[in-house]
Amino acid sequence: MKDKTMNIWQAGICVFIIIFANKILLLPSLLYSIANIEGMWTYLISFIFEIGLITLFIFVKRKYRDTSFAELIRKKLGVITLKIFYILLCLFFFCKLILIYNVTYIFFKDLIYQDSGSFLFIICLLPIINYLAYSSSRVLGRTAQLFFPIILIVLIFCTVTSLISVNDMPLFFQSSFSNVMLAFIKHISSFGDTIFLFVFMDKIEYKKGDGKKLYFFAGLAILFVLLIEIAFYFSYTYTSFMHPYAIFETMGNIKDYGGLGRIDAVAVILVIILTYFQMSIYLKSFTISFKEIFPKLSINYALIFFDFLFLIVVYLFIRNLERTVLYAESVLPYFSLISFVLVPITCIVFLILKRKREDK
Amino acid sequence: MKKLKKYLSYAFRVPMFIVLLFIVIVYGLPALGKDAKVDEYAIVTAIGLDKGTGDEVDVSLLTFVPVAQQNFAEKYKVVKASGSSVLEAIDYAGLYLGREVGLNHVKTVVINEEYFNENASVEMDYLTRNKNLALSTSVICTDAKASDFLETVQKMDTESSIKVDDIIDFNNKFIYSTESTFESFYKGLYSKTKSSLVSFISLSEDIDEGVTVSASGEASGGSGDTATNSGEESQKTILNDGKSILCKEASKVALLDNTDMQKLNLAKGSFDSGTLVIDNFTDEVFHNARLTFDIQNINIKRKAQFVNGVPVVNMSIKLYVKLLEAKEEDLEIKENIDIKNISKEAINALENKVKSSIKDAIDILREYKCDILKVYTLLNNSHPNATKDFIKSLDDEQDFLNHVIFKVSPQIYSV
Repeated sequence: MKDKTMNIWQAGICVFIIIFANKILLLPSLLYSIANIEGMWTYLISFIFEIGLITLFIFVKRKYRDTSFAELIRKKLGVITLKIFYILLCLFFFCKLILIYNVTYIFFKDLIYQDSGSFLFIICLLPIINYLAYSSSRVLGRTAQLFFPIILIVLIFCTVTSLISVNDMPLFFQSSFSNVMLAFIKHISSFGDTIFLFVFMDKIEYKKGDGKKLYFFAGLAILFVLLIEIAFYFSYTYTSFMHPYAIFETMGNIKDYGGLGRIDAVAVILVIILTYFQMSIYLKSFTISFKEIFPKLSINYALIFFDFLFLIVVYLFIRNLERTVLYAESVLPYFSLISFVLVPITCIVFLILKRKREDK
Repeated sequence: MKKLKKYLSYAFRVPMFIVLLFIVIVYGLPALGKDAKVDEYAIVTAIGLDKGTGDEVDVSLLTFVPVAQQNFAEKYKVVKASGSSVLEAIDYAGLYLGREVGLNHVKTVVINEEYFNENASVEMDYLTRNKNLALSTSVICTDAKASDFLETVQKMDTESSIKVDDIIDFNNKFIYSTESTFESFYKGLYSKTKSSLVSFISLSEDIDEGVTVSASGEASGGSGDTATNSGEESQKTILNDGKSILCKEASKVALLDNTDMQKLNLAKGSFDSGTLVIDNFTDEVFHNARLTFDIQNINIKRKAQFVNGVPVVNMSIKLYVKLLEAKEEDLEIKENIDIKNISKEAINALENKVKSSIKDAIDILREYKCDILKVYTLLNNSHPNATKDFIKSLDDEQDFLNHVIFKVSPQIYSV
């Protein structure tokens, strides 16, 4: 299947969606348990890196408009580097998929379907994300564009109602800078997801000035994530570590429902939609990376390989919150070197090489 | 037929349609043959915890078994069980009921005072770990056995449709402003000064006070049921007079009565309505009168500063009140009371009343070393370094309230 391109709006929406990955459920309570209320600084530090990645992408895209990231690596650094690079990317996206799946699965199992097994979730998730990954980037982008107004409306509703119900003041200045940095390092894997842009590089239409649109969507997502964090920490203050599902809990903190009943169910809609798209973007990135490692194999093989590996890993290794957190805190941070070290260094090398050639 | 075939062939080309069909066949059809989930559960609406014999805990569950019927009445029953832990006792209660115990609808947890005093946070551990039980569940302490309390609650509901969680909610919102939930308890416990408030409701034999119900086993109406069948007529009263337990490190340090609570809530500024009473008031209109003002709105701004290393908390209080009752012998209303509501003398008297009430509230907190007003948070957030130095300079950190100067400046407005 010919992979049609997505426009910058659709890419921006994908950035918007992916910035929420892992950040509005478990992360706030985990950060609080390490750095108290100062855990909020971890977000700011990490988002600076995230914006840095987007900036690098814009620079590289501007310089090498119609070239894919893989082609650049092949030309400048050789085929072996390309293979190693994309194996690491495959691993990164696979690990993130596993993390997202587990967090969401445990969230739904704990709060809604306590008697259900993993099979039901896999049946509901895998075919759809497989389909979106199999389709062209344009299909993924357009579907995300179609759902974006719903995501935005639900998100605004959740954020505003959460902020209105804030009625407490947390205790500041209780954690040292070292605690903030420890929280940042332990949970660095929850950030850096925007490297999917590099994998999609040749599949995104880019014109002069389009960078602003990417910044706009990234900024909007960051603003929402920070507002949700503020609502969460200012609602639960000293007991923030006891509430593992931030956005759901902030909605649950609203005391006067009136006739609306369980208003926190609205947050569940948001989590469902975001999970589908986040997983689809990761899987699409996985398949593109797989294709670069094995150029002669079709995308079907990438999907079959992924599904097989996914089922094994999900069934054998990670099935409860404790193990998921252990996995996220002790294994995944190493993979974040790919997004925060490897990709930026490679980009800087490309930019320097281009500059040198232009100077000549 | 041809058209149908054409549509089907088109539908089967869409992968999502096949997925949907698969889910319907695998999950939808077998679900039709299964019993409804509600048939597997006994719904619990309140839990009572008492100290049992030895190390055991007595758990009482205010339960109803959902049965399909044409009216809305639910047949409640208090089920009791003992175990070495709360979880074990609840499991035993499930054996008695022949159903799984569903805790999703629990709105109230009643804890016997004696049991609470031992170590509330340890005893409540299971209930806070249980994901089915919301942390917003109300927690009440009582001087009676929690099981007796629930039986009285059950009778009260049957006879008058008064529900204990409504009483607590009303208490919280409008009268004594004591938010008493797992959440508020733990928020206080994990704060710097480890202090929290828990609502206290008595169960009294004195039928002249409170909401009185019969616990004789003969319901006077409705379809209620009861577990107590003693045969002897006894009457018990739920006495919600606004008392609260002041806890420090999850243990009771004092039982505050409603006047203490009113003063504390005035200092907190966290209630929607309330009253202020001035006795022996005299001005142009009144002579030795008792005036009762309704508090319509309260707005408290607190600012912290350090003067020569000593923390000073300035409390600026705006109180919007309305005179609603005046008691005086031979009272004659000579003026339009809607236009001339409160005199300057009355405002001065109210300001003094507010000042003395807040002083009393602070004295209570100083005595028990409980920072319910979150003074530490205010000091620390505005002057972190000075607060650290100040706390370090104290012999007893927990006694810091005794070293803080409070300046109260009330402003009274008539509405």
